[in-house]
Amino acid sequence: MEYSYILINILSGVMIGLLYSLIGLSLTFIFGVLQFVNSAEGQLIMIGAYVAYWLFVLYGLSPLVSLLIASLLGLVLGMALYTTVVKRLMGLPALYSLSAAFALAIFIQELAKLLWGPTYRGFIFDMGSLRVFNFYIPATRIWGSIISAILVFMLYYYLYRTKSGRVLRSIIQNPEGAVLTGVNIYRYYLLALAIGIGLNVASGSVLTLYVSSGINPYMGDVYTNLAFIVAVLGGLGAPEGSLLAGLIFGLIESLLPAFLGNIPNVDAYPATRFFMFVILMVVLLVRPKGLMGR
Amino acid sequence: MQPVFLFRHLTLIVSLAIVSVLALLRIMLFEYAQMIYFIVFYISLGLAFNVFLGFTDYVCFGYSVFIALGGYAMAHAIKWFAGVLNPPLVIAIGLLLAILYALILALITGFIGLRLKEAYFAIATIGLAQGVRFFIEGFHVWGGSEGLIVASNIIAHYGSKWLSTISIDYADLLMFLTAILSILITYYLLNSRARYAFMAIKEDEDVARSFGVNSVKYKLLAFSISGILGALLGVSKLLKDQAIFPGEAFSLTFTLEALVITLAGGKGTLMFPLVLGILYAGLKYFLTTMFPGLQLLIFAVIVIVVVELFPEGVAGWLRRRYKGTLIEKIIT
Repeated sequence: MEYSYILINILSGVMIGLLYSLIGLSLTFIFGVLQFVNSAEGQLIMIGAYVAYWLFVLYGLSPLVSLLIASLLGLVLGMALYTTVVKRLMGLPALYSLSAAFALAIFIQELAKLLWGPTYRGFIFDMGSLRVFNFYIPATRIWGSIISAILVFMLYYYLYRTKSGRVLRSIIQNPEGAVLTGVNIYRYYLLALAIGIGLNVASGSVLTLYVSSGINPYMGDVYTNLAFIVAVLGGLGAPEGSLLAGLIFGLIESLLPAFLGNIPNVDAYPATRFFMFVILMVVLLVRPKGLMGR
Repeated sequence: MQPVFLFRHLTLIVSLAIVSVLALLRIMLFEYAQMIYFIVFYISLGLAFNVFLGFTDYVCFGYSVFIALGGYAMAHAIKWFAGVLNPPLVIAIGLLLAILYALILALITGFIGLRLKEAYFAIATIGLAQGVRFFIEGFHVWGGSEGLIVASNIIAHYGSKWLSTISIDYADLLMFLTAILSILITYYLLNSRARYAFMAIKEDEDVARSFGVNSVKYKLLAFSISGILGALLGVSKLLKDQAIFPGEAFSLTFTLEALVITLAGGKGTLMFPLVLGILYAGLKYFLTTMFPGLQLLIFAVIVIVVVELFPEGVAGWLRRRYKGTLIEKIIT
């Protein structure tokens, strides 16, 4: 294996890793504030991908534009979800919110199947490419990673540099303490779910900048698991860890197939997914609090 | 306390009576055999799932893995021993293998996941179905993504008469036995000392621990039993279908169905998941004919509505409705 080959894999790993950070971040952010495990993460990503697909196919909109529409849709969906589903679950044992989230994921998936059919869809959106060594990196991927980085940065800026972000962090650390200091905690729950789901759906549109094919109602499961792994490795409910964990997984995902592909009788894609699951279990066994968890 | 004790027996008697009536119907009305199998499958599914969820308040979202493992175990037994041993012996080996597979998986995932809070366990088990599936597909083990088909093995070694005997009689018999076993185990857990440990764990795990309840041990116990019962379901299902494909076997459908039955019925009870299993089979049959392809959508909505509005299910509603009367005490 040449060095340039490994280098290019590292580069593309970092690029996809930024998207994974974004995906894990929206999950861990929602969990941190609301203690709600959003197992519909992947299905909402699927919705974002469909938004990009339909806007491109019907109106010729670039995913860079539909991204904004997807995030607005996510904000509205988040608020709707909070008022209809999540709000009532807040005081109940974890069992109920977990079951509801699980059912929600299947609901979204089946709804998408009902609306758009089980067909695999895709579109071709070309913005040229950049030559690095002897490899061509599609410009859409570069845009995707830049946008992921911007979204991640925006959430961090919001959390660490604004007043309402500080309130949210206080809720993550100690919800009772936040209530005692006069925070209207329910308004922030609504806000957090809207932001979290907004990022979540937006990341689906960003995903189409990386991979614009294979959009189908059942694509979500893989991303739900990915979000879990990134969030758990980073520390569930600790937004700081997701960036690092996302990058680690981006690197693993782009480097592992290069090695696994050489082993006979092994399919690189499912084998990589299997190793991701093993890593999740190992992290849960060794350090369930994650890299940055408290 | 005496009448309460009697009434606890009553739930067992009624449950067994319901299953016996179904068994009698199966023998007398052979043309409805398929329908009755369907009903008993959902009774067993609800009860088997309930053994873990109902007693610990943890949910295993990867429950379909246990059903799939049971199927794979039986398929292995047929592939390996067909022609060498009698069909009943092969099935017995398949059952043992199924128990072994399920136990290994339950112990590994349980040991890692059950020491942690519910959210972490849920995350681990949602990944579980995919993890095992990608292992099978990625490394081309156990037939890879093509799955395992055993019908030809049975015909080649025992003839087509055995094929129908296995897929009709043995599969049905095993399903009934699994249902009865689930009822007995649920009943035992509801009336043994372990019940108090489970109650303490559900109320407050930290306090239970400080009182010397080995919470991980009890959770692992319930998880393993529930997993093994699921594997037995899978064995019967494989004998019925005579094939297993990873794409279907690891789908989340069974988990969602089990959640509907257990939560809507009333987790941690004996009678209600059983009755709901029957109702669910009927509802599913109705929906499949009326709205084909929409069942999952509808069941997902039912789970959300039940969780939001009736978190304790029918049992909880009845308990509240008849608070202070004998009926409340019967509903265990």
